[in-house]
Amino acid sequence: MNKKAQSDISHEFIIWIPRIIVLVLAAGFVIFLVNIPITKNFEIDKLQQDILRQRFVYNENCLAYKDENNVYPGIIDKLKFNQLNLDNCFKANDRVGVNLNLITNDVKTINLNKNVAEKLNFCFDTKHFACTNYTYYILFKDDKSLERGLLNIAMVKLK
Amino acid sequence: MHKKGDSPLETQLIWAFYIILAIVAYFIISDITSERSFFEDFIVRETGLSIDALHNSPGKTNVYYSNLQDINVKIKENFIEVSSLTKNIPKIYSFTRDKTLTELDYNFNIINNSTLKISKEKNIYLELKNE
Repeated sequence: MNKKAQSDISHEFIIWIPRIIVLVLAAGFVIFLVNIPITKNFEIDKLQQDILRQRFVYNENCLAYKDENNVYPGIIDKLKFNQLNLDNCFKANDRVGVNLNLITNDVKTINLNKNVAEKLNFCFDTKHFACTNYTYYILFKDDKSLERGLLNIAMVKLK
Repeated sequence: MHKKGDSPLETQLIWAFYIILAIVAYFIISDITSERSFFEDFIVRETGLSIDALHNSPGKTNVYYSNLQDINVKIKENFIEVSSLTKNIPKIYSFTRDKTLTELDYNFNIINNSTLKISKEKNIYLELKNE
């Protein structure tokens, strides 16, 4: 290849650089405009977390107390408050983490999907994290007695 | 008249490229903003949230979605995918599994007006009924 041909190619390349930049900017602007209404219409993170949170209290496989015949939503079986049981009943994807605190005479804490659950301190960043925090006033079954307590469920989801 | 150094062929190629790009952009945008795409996005989240909610139910519960047509609904592990029968770009929702229940594995091609039934008894089941 001679020197003139090489010069032509580099000249062509330089001409195309601003064209490509303008093209990318224009495409990005159009995608941004299109995405604004779509993203706003389908903001379901809070609703999803409200639904998921209730699983711990209402589902017999999670924490709800069950005798021979009936499930009692709102009554917590203290024996079910362990890592293995909660990992089984709440198998979320890698973007959801949960921090549960059962507050009775003492405080028991369990983290589900620990890597994400530990990011609760970053919840101020609403652009990247969707978080909810709710405390249930519950009754819990301990041996044969029924006692009062609190169940705090903090949930974090990476957007 | 063309600029110095630009051959007519080159100019034509650039314009052809721009036109093709505009056509592709038009189809992408019309697909994203179409009612159909909106519906698929809605139905995947709606059914996904229903499955999440049914996990909470301590008793027997049924949820029905009627008048569904021309979509493919696929559920595997903890993912639900809804796509049009003609275009294969699925909308995806990830629900939260209860590992003590049987794993969901369904693939429905919904052609005519049909009803999708999601029910919870001991496990969660899906069933497609033609109307």
